[in-house]
Amino acid sequence: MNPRSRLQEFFFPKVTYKFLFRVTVVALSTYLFFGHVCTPLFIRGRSMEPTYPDGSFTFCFKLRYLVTRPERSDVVVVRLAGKRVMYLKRVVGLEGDAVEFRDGVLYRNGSAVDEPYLKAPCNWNLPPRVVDSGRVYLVGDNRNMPIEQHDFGQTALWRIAGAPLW
Amino acid sequence: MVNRKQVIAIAVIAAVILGGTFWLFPTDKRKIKKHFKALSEMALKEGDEPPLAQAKPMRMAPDLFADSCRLFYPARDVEGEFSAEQMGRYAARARQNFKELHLDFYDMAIHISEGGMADVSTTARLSGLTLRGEASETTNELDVSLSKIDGEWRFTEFEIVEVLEK
Repeated sequence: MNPRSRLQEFFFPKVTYKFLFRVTVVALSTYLFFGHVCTPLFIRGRSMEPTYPDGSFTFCFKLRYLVTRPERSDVVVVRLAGKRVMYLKRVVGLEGDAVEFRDGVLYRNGSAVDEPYLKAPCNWNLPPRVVDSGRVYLVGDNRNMPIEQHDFGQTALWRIAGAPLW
Repeated sequence: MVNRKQVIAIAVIAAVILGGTFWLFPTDKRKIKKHFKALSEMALKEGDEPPLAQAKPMRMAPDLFADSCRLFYPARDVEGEFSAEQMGRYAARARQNFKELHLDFYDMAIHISEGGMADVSTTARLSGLTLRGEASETTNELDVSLSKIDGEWRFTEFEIVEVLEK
């Protein structure tokens, strides 16, 4: 087979049952994988900087918490009304944990938490609150803004849609 | 015996009839989506605008909101009933704080109940540039109610869902 006919066959294949079956399998697998297992995630916003800069890209691995629960310091994807626009946050407290901020330092159950992923200064103060049952406490990595301007707090476990792949 | 040309002609006519029906007789769901688009249009600001454009929210509000529209934001202890005129005035005032403003809705789930009522769950993303040139972005889950008044849908309630409880 000469290169021209190979090219022709690649771009204009003969539509046979075998070909249609292959196309269907590829289309279905792509839809299942990128639609329900690893969905593309474009990061917009600065709340998780510097770990996830504004404009970066990753995948949301939706099977991450199929049989396990989020752990402390995991980064998770949180669904809102649907799964097209979601929050990306870090778990800092599990149910029963007492979470608080003193002069920008996170305290969990009374002990200061080492957070090597934080790069910007923070001066937050937040009185202790205990995480409710079936919930996790989430905060972004970028705390270089007034506490009122940062979306954080506890959310229900059912809202955790997965975790970023990297 | 029907030949190939006739089959194609029938298919084209059927497609035109279906398409025409779709556009000429929109379903309530499509009308509601269009109503949200009009709300986005009301908020939209793309740079400096003449005084006439600044009054856009005031002009559009009576066609968007019911005579009495309830706003409920439990995280900020905001709750109240506002007239369409007040809603327009507040929107106009809010737009004045921005150079650019975009309001987009995602993941819209519409449930229409009997008696001309509809409940919509959606994610709203408000992004823009403040007068000082700083990027501003906020994303919230909304529960919105609409009523059909004189054959037209009108917003009757907005609740900002507290996904993350501080």
